[in-house]
Amino acid sequence: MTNIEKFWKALNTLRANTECTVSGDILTEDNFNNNIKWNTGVDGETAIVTSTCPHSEITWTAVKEEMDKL
Amino acid sequence: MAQTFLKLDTGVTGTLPSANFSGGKVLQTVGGTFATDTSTSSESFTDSNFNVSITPSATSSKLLINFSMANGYVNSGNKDMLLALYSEIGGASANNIISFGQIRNDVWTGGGGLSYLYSPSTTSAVVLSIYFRRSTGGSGTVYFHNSNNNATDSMTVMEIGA
Repeated sequence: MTNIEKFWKALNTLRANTECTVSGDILTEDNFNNNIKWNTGVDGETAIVTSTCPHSEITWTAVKEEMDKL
Repeated sequence: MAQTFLKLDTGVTGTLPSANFSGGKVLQTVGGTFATDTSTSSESFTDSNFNVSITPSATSSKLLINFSMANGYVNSGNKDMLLALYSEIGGASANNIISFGQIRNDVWTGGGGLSYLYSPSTTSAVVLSIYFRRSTGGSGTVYFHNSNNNATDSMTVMEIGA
């Protein structure tokens, strides 16, 4: 299983149906903070996104813990 | 009108005046490549971060856009991936100018892409970006780029003079 596949499984475990986009690896807290765009809404057919995770249950510590189980 | 032939292989020096020619001139070409793993669970179009910028020299120019997708992927059992070409003119919000692809689930794709003639009617900077999303009502992740086979996406944009 690739690093990205682990990330998506971990994310789904922490919060199912979370919408976001990942560019590059998620190996470090810096990656977590910079490589993910989180959906916060929609404008017509285009996602409104932010770099700051809007979901309190999704943190780098929690994501890494779930990824390490895989 | 009788045909006139211009023999250029010998005895020609200097520059032919461009005013003697009309239509179909390629005024400039820009391009880029992309090889970053990029995936989404979004059901609304989101930026892949693959973009090419060009500033047309005249409002009458057209842009011929060629995009080649190297290896998008949709996991088995997940919903389809949809693609769109977005245009951002002069720093304004990006807009979908054409939706062009749908990749079915459990499929790898290579060499898929788009050829599109676009009339932006501007001399401001135009940023052309590939957006993607998962189809609605699904679950899981779709991959705009997955580096399993080290392939590279590419986009070339040519400004064609009127």
